[in-house]
Amino acid sequence: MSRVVITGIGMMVPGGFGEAAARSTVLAGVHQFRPVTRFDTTPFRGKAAAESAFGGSLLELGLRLTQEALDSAGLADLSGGSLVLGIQGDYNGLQQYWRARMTGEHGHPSQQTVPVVEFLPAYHLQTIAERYGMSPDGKRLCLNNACIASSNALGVGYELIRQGKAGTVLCGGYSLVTEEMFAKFDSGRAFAQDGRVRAFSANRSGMLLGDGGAMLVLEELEHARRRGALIRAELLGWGLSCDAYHVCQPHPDGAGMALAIERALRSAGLQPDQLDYIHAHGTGTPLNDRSETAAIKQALGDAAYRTPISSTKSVTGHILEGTGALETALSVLAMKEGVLPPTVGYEGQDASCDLDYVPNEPRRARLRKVVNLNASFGGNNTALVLGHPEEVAG
Amino acid sequence: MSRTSLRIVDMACVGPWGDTIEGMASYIEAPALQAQAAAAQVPGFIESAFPPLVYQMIRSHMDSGNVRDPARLAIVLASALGDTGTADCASRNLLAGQVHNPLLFYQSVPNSILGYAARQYGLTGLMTALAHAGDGLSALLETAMLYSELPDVEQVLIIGVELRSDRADELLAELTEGKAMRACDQAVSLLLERSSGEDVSEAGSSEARVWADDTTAVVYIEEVRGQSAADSSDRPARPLAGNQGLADLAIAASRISRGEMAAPAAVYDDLFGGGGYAVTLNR
Repeated sequence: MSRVVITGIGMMVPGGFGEAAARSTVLAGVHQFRPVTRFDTTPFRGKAAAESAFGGSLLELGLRLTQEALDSAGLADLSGGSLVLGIQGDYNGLQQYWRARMTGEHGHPSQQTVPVVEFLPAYHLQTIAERYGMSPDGKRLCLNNACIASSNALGVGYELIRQGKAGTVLCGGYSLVTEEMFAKFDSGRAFAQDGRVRAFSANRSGMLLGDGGAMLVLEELEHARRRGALIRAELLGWGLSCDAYHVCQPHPDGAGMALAIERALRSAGLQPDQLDYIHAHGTGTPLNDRSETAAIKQALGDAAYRTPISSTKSVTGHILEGTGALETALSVLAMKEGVLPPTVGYEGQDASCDLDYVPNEPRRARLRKVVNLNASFGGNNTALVLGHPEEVAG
Repeated sequence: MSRTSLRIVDMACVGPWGDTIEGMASYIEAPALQAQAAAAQVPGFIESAFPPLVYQMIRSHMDSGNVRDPARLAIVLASALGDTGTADCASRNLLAGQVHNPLLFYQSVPNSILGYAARQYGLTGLMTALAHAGDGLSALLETAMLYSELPDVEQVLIIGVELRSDRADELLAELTEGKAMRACDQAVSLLLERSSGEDVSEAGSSEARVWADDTTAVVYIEEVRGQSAADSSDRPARPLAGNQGLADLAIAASRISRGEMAAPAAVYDDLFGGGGYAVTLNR
């Protein structure tokens, strides 16, 4: 079976594009939550999110991240490659469509005009594929399974290469805070009441949304070596599972997430005590963080107590479909820098969350094997295992 | 080009025609005006036919006895236009100043109905939802082929689902450059498993055919091959927009298995705007 490496990354966090923005916010532990400015939050209970300064549409964000990933990989285009996205469409397009029909207004002063066709996730797929010269033989897949979409996309990209069906796959996802999604999460009473994400902390009260995403170039190892590409990390394995428990609540024992971790470790050929860091889903909701902690204990056993865990959503907010790709990119950066990103806003231990969550301050560490966890509605869970590029040998 | 061979174990559909493959074939040849499908409501899911259609497909296969091990079943759900019922309802509510219904919150993603089914049937395997820009067949099969190779997967259930709405019709007209394509509420699903015998694609001939019994043949999906826009330009618009490829495959597989259609045969997954994929079936 082929080995899969990451040779290019384009990413955006609420603080901006690229490694520098991620370093100065996520790795430094500087949260990005502010009162929402993109729309009027008067009708809602929630008021805060981690908005970025990016002023383009969702598709424009996808195109920019694609360009940055290809530049990072030293690739001119996607000819000969495949594309796997994990996104939802642009809700601004849908909202503008209905506003025009219900009120006759065709625009909104604070919104860029977005055609309703951009609400279709696969329209993004086709646009990026065509803009970057993909051939008909290249695989084109678009996943829209909520908060695991882009980590599932990375898993699919991994399998395409591992099973010999592709040599290069651009994978990723992205999301921007929109009024539509804000309203949905607000109706579900999911938002943190104090405007901060305090993942794993005793006083955590919920999640918040954020802008961001990442596109990553996955490549078969020898293919990357032949063209002299810089190897940024190895994708060692992955796991996907379902809780079979509830439509929108995680399994209280973390059974499904534990299964995803076990599958990922088996796929990577690793034992639990070989992990140096767990990049948690860590939404900051009471249910998620308790369930995720239980899952880590179930999957890792005693090693759970020795392995640092953190939530970068405590800085970026929840990037929804883009969260898996962004947190994978951040994991690669953490390995490169030798820094554990902190869980900021942590204010005290919850009896059900009693592991090492790297509270509030970054920590130097030698990171060679990292697992990135994500979960979504429907009880779906993913785990992606990453290896440091210096470990790529043979 | 993908050459993993998948055996078709079971098929199901639901649409304005009812729930038979033959009824679907008749509808495609002479579409009726009726656009709704009769699917039972699912508790906790409101305002949209999307979740009930998906659940009916899963229930059909679970009840058929063809799913060997629920813990080793992967499900891949695909739609071109998605759950327009939920999305449009939520968007209109927001613009009308109505407080969002929390039920629409979780219903707004396709995972949720998969999660509901998972609880009902103890499904702990891989579940993935796809969006596609055409007939969806290739996306479903490519993913099914990948998943079928994984050690925790024994069977893969692929489901295509589309809803009828005015907005869907407008989008289809735009995406297909004005070709008239009827949208209706419908779902089609196939239960697949990796060929356990000789690999048909490697044999490259009918020598690898496996027969089910004296009257019907096992049908395999052999190959998914990309096509240029020129290859697909002469095919007329067909009525099950977004799900036509999967419907055509189910009909062809049914006919091949009964000896009413010669094998190998090709069905097509046309992308909106041109190009697409050809899928080869064989006995």
